[in-house]
Amino acid sequence: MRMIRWLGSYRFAILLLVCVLLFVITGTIIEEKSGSHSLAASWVYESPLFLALLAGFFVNILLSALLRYPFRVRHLPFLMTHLGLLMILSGVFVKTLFGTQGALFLKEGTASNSLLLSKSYALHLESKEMRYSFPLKEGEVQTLTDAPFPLKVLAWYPHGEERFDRWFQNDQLLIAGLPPLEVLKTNTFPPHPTFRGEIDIYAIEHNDPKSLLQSFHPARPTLIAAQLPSGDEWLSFFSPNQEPIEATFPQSGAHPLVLFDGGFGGYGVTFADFYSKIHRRLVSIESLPKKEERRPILRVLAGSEVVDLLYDPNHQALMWPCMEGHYLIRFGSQILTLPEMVRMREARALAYPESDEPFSYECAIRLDEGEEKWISMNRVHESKSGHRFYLSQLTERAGQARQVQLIVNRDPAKRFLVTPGGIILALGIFGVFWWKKRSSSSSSSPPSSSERTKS
Amino acid sequence: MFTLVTSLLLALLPFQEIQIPGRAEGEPCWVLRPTYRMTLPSSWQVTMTPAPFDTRLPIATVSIDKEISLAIHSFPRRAGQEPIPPSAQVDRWRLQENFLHELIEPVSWGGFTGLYFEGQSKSRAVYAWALQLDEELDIHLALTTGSIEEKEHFQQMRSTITLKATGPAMVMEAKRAQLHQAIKQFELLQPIVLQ
Repeated sequence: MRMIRWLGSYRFAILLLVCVLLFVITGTIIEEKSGSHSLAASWVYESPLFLALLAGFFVNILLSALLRYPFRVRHLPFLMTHLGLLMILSGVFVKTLFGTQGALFLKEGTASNSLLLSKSYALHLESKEMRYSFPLKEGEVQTLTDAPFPLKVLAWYPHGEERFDRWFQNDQLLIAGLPPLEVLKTNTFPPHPTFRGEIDIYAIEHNDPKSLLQSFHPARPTLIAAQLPSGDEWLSFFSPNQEPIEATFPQSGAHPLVLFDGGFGGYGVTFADFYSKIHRRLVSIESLPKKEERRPILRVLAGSEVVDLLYDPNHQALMWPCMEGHYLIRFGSQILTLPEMVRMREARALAYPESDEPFSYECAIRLDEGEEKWISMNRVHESKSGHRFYLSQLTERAGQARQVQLIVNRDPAKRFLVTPGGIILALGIFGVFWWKKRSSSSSSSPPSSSERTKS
Repeated sequence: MFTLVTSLLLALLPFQEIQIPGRAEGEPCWVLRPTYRMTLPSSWQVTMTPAPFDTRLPIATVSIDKEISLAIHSFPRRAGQEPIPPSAQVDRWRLQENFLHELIEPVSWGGFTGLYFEGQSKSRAVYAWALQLDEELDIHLALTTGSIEEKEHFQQMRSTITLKATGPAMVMEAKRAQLHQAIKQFELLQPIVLQ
């Protein structure tokens, strides 16, 4: 009983408050030194010790209320205050355990219900017929048993980056998986491809390769790679049943080329999908940036092939081929399918009057073809299922439809714990003051005539 | 009776949603399915003019207070054919009249990108939009698998679009905000799901 009294005492409450204060100071120092809120959160605010402190508060508040038993009417405001606090604390636990937070990427005119969960890892596999997702735990080496082929996570590297080399180096065309191909300097098409395989490859140097194509009608999938005198690179891909695709790659920077394999999953793959890998390197970097910016590299064994994958949290990069191009693979975030399909019609920047300087961004969305809502960073829309949508980022490129990143979160406890708890707490606090005022005014009022008579 | 009540109730609404069919290029077109939609003020008179092949004719016209005419054209293309660039449409409009004042701006909404053209002569004004589908969405539609009918519909969705409002300059100026707001409601009926 002494133990229970101590747990419900104000001494225990003060001890908990001091501990929380020390934790918060530590968290602030970590955040200031590292510049990373995520690091401070994972070391301090999401640590089991900090959660134990919150549980301690729960026990303290509960016991301090129960110790007033037997309850009287005057205890009502006090009990309400404690009940409100308990509900809010329970809400925090429920949100931590079962809450949802993620990002939804939408281009104008598109719809999606695939929410990419924050701070989560998953391996995604895709064939022309099926899609598979395997949730991963950070740092855990495991065999993925439900995969359609032997698939094993071999290693995690804490942070890395992707580097792409140019197609042409020293008058040779470099395509990983193939020997370097000699570039032919010609004004006409060579009679035979430089390389003949699943696709034909022509490696040429020419100042206007596009002009060569007018009389070129290949019957087989064909890649033409041309080195321009300016040093830029030009690629064109022909497939008998598809539109030819061509692109120029200026000398500066990396420029991905997106090709489609008969609508394979509806989105792009690199040339690699057609023939092994392009020249790509993943480099593990030792100096770690802020935790939020870290991109781990995952080494997996797919069949008998070792594949290195860079973490792609927003699923913006292309999937990578494996199993001789029969599957595409991505190391990304876990996907949650939202109950509503979200469609975005328009995104826009709001500029200051007579200026191009934007002060805010907004976008128009519809949930399941319902009423259109404009949302922004500060204008949140909450769906019937309790998901809250707000605009986090707008990407604008000349000649392209705008793309937005929506942050979506759901607090399952909000409606039945946090909001009612807050109301009960507010009423309780009001009741405490009202009761005090009432009792003090009744004790200081002059005695009635009957009381005077008695005395 | 039910239809009458529904029509009366719809007439009371300030806005109407219209669905516009697309059209096909040169090839047999089995079904002209509703392809686009727009939300317009109920007082605007909409006339659907299904023109399966002739791109000189609009697919829909909207009459605003009997003074402004908004014509919506779609320009379909065969698989592999390049879309008509919005700049070519704007160049064509610029040659149609001697405008005293001209304005050209890039625009983007509903998955379309393109150019907005505004021209004003002494008494008349033109507000026009030349649109084409965003390249990524266009390629996605070009290569999305489906039945022959679905593929045909995807091809119709890939058409370039023009929306051109003409009318007396004063009336156009008075209706500018309402027109711009209504035009921005133009979108594909069926959203494109990339993933």
